Amino acid sequence: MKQKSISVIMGILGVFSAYGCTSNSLKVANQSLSLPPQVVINNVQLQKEITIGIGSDRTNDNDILEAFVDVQSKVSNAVTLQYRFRWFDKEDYEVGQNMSMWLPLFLEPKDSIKVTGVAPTPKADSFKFYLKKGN
Amino acid sequence: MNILKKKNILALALLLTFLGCVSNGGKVVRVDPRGLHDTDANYGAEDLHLFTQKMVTSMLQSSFLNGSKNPYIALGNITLNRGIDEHIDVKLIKNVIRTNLIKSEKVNFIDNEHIKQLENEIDYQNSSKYLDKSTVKKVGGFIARDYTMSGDIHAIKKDNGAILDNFYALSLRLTDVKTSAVVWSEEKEIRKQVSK
Repeated sequence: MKQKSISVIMGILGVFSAYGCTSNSLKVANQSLSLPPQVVINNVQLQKEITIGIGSDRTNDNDILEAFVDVQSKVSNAVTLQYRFRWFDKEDYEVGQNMSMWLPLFLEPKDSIKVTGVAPTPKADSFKFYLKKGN
Repeated sequence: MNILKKKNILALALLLTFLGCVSNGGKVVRVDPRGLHDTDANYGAEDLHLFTQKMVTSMLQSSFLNGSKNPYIALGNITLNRGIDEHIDVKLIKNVIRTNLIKSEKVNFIDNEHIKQLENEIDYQNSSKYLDKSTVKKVGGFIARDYTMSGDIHAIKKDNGAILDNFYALSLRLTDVKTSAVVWSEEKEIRKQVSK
């Protein structure tokens, strides 16, 4: 296992989006690898329903950055969400935009799921994770 | 009084007709090409993205890429099963996967189409009486493929009158040319339902 000594910026944020109609301003949390990841959910409704677990990140044998995020439901009904990873190089320029897409996430009542993201290129040095209500 | 009413109705009808003529038929909205914007249960851009994202991500995680030398891959066939009654652009799926894998800088691709075109061109160069032979470029040094990527797309559609249920599955595999061993394989399923 090859571990890159990199500073990883991790921002986990909730994006308000009621069926894609509206969204409030995005707030990004920047954090180094040596500190616990900071979670910012700026959607009150989503915050009531979802808990974001502690994420971690590492590089695998292919020298590709991987991201792990635990998403846990607090409600007793099934929740449909969408999530997205965005990847950035050492200069904070986004890389691999073509691979940064919203993906569906289905959570059973009170269930949790671990979401994995794989950087599209070894140039990726940090990531941000976005979550919003699906439809 | 009735004549006045008829005139008003006629005027309203004319106004609506005029508005209908000048209308451009709806507002155009630009949307995130990476978002999920399902408009029906048929195969669409969202499914293309879901398919290709899964395949590229899975391959980048695969252990066959661990070696220091980037492998050379050639695109083979992705076969549509007979049950598919809608257009699924297989070439686009292959192109998106190839583009993103090349961008990953972990694999190289052999350009089969270029080789075929070049073979035709070489035939022409060898047989043409009108070509200036001094301008003919020396061709050679082609690299043989290490792996062939191929796969299948399947679809199952159900319609009970109230709910339309569409299921799509893409499976891809990477075959070692030397050993014929499948070194990587992945499958992505998509299911969409629409209430009528």
